[in-house]
Amino acid sequence: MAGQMQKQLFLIMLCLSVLSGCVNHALTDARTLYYQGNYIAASDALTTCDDFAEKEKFLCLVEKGTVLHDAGEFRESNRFFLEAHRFIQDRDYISISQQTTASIINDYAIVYVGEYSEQLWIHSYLMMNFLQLGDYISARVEAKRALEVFERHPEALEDDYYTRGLIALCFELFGQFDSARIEYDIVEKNSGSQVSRPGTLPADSGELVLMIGTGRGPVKVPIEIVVPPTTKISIPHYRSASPFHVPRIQDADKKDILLHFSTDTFEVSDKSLSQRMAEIISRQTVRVAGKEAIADSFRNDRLAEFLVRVALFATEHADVRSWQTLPRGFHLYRLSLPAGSHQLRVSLGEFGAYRELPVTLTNGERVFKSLRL
Amino acid sequence: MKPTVLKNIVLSLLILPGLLGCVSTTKTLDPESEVYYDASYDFSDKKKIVDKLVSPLIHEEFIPRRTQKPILIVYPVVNETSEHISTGGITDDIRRELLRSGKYRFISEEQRNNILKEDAYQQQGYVDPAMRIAMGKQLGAEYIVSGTLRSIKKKEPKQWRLTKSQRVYYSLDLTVTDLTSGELVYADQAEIAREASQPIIGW
Repeated sequence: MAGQMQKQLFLIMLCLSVLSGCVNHALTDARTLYYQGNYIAASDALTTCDDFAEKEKFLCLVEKGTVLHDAGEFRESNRFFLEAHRFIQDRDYISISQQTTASIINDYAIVYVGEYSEQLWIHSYLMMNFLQLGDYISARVEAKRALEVFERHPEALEDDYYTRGLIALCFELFGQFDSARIEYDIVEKNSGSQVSRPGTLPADSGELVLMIGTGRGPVKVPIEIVVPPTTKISIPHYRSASPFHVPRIQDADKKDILLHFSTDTFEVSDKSLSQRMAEIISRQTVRVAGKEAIADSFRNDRLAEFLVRVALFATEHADVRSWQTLPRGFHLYRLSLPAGSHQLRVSLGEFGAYRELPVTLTNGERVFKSLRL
Repeated sequence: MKPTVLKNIVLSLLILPGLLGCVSTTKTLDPESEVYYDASYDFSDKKKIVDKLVSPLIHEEFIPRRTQKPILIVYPVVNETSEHISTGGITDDIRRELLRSGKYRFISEEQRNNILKEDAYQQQGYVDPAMRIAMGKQLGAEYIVSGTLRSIKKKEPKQWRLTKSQRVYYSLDLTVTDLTSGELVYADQAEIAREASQPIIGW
């Protein structure tokens, strides 16, 4: 009887080890296609995200939103980012079932709702989309939602100057200069340096707002420690996937245009994950103790104990789920240009080849453009 | 045989209530009913704030009495909240209630582009000249009705507790401005304050 029970337990463990840490192929395919520049195929690979398991649905929504944003499908992109926001809101509680499973198997048992930084960047993308659609009221709604996220996690997100710059811009569009000033003051305080605050537009000019994403965002990888005989500790951490470059923008006279705000997503993501580290480590500790107790209960049967230990070892994975189509850097440029047509040049970093950027604006007009380099 | 039948009945009885809970349902709600799932803006709020703001405009004499009805133009209510609220519904309700009171005449700001389009079409020669709309005969607005919807959210500070509460305060400010003098002839505010709590722990 006891032998049968052990066999069943082992089988369950084996199934769990196979199931835990599964990677969704649609997500992997979409990310590969995206970085090959094939945005339409990447979007198709993710379909509507309805067939995604809860645990990875957030990732599908944000990856799809990013792909559509970069494909210039701002309205469609909003649909997915807004759904991602609702997804987070609906799961704003501690799930006993998920926490219990995570304490036995691994953190993949928990529905992923993004790091604090990822939750914030949903609103950054929504602001960018609404601004480009000319829906300034909705952009300001997103600015306020972004402020709520900043308020909840001030330390983790203090280095995201780009989103602060976007928020200030949304307020300025409605003449709320006091609210914009608060954002500029916060950036100055957090960065320790003075920021260039946009002035009033000259009468015969328009404003070009460039929202540029550069490089490949950071990815999560595991740090694994094996304590003999079979205890494994696996903790996620962010690793840079591409260097951080500030793009160069030149006007027709090849004069460099000043950068307004920039965010290194690696730094902000890393800080966000660190803020959650105590929670991750405490769950890991409970899991290590629990797994040791399970394995120990089989000590009368050497073979069963060995097999159970192997299964438990195999289930231990760090949760490395993350938004992988994010850029490494977000950069905001605001420049006033005389009404008419202009030919700007954009390059990625010091040695990158220049790319032409034609712009036409009228008096008092604001033109929004987003680029991914 | 008998115990197996019994076992099946018990099992069926256990499964049935579970399945009944999975049946999808649809029901019609009374628009006047007040059922809130959370503290955020709800459809019944619109009616409440529009009623509160429109009533004085119908019953009070804030525009000097004269023989002709005053001509108003209602500008879209501006959303300054942190929610994607379609304020077009509030604008439409305010205009409809004022129009039905019979005290005012209205110019449709929303239809201006369509009017221009139709005007241009009629002047292109397709329409019988006798039936073409006469240019320069549109009414001019005398007063602008405008509004702003705002919200303030307050969450309970982080502490040991089983539920988390959120308070939301909404206000809709409505103003009427005299287009000739620029004078603000009417201003009022409707407010809604609500608190909702939800458990921190769930299944």
